[in-house]
Amino acid sequence: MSDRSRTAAALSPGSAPGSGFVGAMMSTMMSTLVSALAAEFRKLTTLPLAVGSSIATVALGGVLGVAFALHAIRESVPATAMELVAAAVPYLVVGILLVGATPVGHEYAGRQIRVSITAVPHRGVFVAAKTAAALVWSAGTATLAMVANVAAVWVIRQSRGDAAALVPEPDSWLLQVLGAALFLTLVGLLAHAMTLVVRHLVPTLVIMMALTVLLPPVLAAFTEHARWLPTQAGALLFSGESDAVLNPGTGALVMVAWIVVVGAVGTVAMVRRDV
Amino acid sequence: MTPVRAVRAEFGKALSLPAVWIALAVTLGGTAAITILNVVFTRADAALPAAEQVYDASAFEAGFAAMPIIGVVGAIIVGVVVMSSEYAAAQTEAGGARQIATSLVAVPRRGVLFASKAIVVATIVLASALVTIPGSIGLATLMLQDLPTDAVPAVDAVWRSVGATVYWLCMGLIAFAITALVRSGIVPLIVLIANSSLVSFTLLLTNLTPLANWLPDMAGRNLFGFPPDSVVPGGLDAVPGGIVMAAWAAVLLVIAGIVFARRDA
Repeated sequence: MSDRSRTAAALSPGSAPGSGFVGAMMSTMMSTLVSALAAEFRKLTTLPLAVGSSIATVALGGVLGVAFALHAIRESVPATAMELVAAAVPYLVVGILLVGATPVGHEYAGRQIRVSITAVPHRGVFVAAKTAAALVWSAGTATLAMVANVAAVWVIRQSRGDAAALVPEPDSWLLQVLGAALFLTLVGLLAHAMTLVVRHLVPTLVIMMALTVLLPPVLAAFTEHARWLPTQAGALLFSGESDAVLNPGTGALVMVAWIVVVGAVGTVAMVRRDV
Repeated sequence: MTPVRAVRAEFGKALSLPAVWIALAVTLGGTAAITILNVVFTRADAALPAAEQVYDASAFEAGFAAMPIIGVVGAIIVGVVVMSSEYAAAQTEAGGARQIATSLVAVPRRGVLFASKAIVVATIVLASALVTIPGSIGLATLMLQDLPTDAVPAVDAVWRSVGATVYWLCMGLIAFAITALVRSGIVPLIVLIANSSLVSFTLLLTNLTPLANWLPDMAGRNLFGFPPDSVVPGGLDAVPGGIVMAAWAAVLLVIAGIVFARRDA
């Protein structure tokens, strides 16, 4: 409390009472948000599930790189390194779903949610801090997983393959790798948004697995409208394939739209409903 | 508590879990939805001149196409939650404890408790297969009555339905056993559902070593008996594959049962 009054005093020396008060409110809000964010990060670093799922996803990136590169060399499949990297991304989705769903899901694994909203009574600030933590944690995991994957493919190809026989890489390979990291980050964020709605980890994961892994191939066999599913649209960021309607940019926007819609429902639910 | 009463109690617990009913609804509703989509496409295909047709018109294939994905996921969910619900913390108002403590007080003989749960998983999965598989094929047959004779002979249809049922049953029990070993539903659920999809880690492993064809889900994959041109080729034949898969389920159940009986809950 004393922090708040000090901030208020510092912000309103001699200015009009109205703007000073609003400024103080804003500033208090910001400092609450910053503290809440710091708290959320601290929680994640102490959670075995959050740390474990991140490490497992990054390790999976490396293992998949080795697996796809070895397979291509052994079977003499003429593949660019970028194709091998892109082939691994759908598998990494499974790991990043858990990473994204953990920050909110773990609150409901026991009684922690009650403690958390007692400490941060402003639910909007709580959701914002959670979302920022989920975003940064997902982005970090996605980036490291892609680095591990690209490094593994490169090392295997250099050490085992005949480099001269390799197909030249597409000019956009760096963009595609960045696109893959962005895609995985957005998948993590969608899982986070879904957890805000569903709250518990297991049902969230089942719904997200259905939405991102099970349904797309089934629906794509029947209808071209399957392109509007989040992972189908977002995959254009890294697959190097073209679509009749979407391009990588609009594909990413479709994913963002999914996140915004699900996240808005989740935020309203978190703010308004009983715990 | 006598074993019969323990089984009855486990049925009551399993059928009070929302996740079990959702799994059953998804199994039944999901296969019906895919069957209807398949019927629409089969009908459109059959209307084309013979040279342009993609499928051999078959009501059986239209009704059976969903079996390797949807029903398997349903069986996995049932197998996982029957065990993982025991280890989930209750609400704070209810003391925040895990149900397993109460279950073990009620049924102190751990072998009986474990076997009762396995029987319940097997029965629920079997019941869902007995309703869903003939139901989907029947639905497709009804909707495609006017088409010429089915390309799949009746004997094949029966054996493939039996194969799919065996696969569901083994998968449900394997999911149950793994969950009992790790005492949490999260990782078994993710890994097993991913493996039933196109993003299958075991299928990827078969590219690196043929030994991976002996892993449980890969061993059993020809139980569905799809024509070779419509699936990833390779793997064990249906009967030996089914035996290998059943052996996995049996071995995992025995290991999980022993661990469950001997370990501190």
